[in-house]
Amino acid sequence: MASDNVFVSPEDSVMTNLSPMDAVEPTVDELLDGALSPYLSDDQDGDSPFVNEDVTKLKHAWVNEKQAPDLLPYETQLVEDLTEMLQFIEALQGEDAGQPFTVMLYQTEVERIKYLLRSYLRTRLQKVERYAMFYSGSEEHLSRMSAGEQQYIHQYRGLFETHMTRTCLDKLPESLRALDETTGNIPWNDTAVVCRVQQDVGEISVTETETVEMRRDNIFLMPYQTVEKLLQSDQVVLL
Amino acid sequence: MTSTKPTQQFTLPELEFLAEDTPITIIPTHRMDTLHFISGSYGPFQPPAHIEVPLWLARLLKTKRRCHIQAPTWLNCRFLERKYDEEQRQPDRFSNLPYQYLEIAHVLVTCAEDDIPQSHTIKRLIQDLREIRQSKARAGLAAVNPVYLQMDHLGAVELNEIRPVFCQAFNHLRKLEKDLGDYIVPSYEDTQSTTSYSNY
Repeated sequence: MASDNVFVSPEDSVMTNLSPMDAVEPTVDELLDGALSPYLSDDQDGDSPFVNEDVTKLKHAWVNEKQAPDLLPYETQLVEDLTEMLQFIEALQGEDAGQPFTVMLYQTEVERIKYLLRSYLRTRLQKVERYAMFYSGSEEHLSRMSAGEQQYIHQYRGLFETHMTRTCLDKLPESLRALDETTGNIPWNDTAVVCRVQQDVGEISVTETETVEMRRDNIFLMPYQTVEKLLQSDQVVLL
Repeated sequence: MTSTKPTQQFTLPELEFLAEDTPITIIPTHRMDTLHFISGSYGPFQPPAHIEVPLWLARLLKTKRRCHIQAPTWLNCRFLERKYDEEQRQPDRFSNLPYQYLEIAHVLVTCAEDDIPQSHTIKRLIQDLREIRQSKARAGLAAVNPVYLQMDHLGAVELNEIRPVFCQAFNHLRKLEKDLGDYIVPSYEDTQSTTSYSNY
């Protein structure tokens, strides 16, 4: 590595200076302030202008969706944009194969994004199925779904009702046959989630008498309903 | 698809996947034009100029022997040793390490062992750090209360590990506190949460 140093450009020499092998040893604080910051959070802010944030956003959307007890609004624009990009790239590869090695690299990224998209959509469908009876009667939750999910929930509810009626409800007295929004699972918003604060929020009240100060990069275990608003405005992310 | 309670847990490969967008500095060994990915453009690759790419790309190039990986500034013996001392000196808090330090270290140590100086010592130090932090995290269970719990600098893997127990404890305490005020018949979802342990 030392022999390479002859060729490095000025920007690169900054990086080599940070290398632990060098004579100038940075203090722990310097390391933490400067070099560590890109690693402290999984965000890649402040990078070159060619970075497309959509993938990072979708990653957050997946993690948030997985952690939140209730269904979050569907990321229509994000999913649409990325799907379009994927189709474009795949069409491009069909026409012009290019170098096998670079094609393999592009293909790897395509697969990674597809995996992320699938994970995101599956996590949502899991919730949709579990709370099908409740969500299908709630305008607010239906508005958070994509057209596909709305269709899915109606069909699922239909199948569920037919199944329940055939297997057991028919055999029960009429007064016990009701099957409506209040039957089945209802999401419980008072459940604990872990979140990281993305920007200073200041004091928020956690009980009638207690407040807590939320600063950037703090990690909290809190009831979901306390952070729900902050999550919608991207001031916190779930972990 | 089953309609079991959706789990909040991530698997370790999922956590590794999430960490693989972390930027890593590499020294390419082959010349290559700029690569235009959906997530951004990287390049041109002109050896021996250093360049920053996401971890997944670095790993791919490394396994195809197209680059050397430069260990991140925190992945060296001195720094990790100091972090370990810090952990020992402050029994009630965690030292500041990258959120995904375990995943990143794992990927780098497995795919680029030859590029990381003293990789054996690093493995040992990471293991030591992990153990001391793990025991701290477990001791933290005593601090769980029904209002909130602050746990700064906890890593992704560590968090994922303690989450089931901590969240369950938190939810139960909250329910108990509420029930003290007014007795509430547990809803279906509440009774489920006590039995969903097997999901984890």
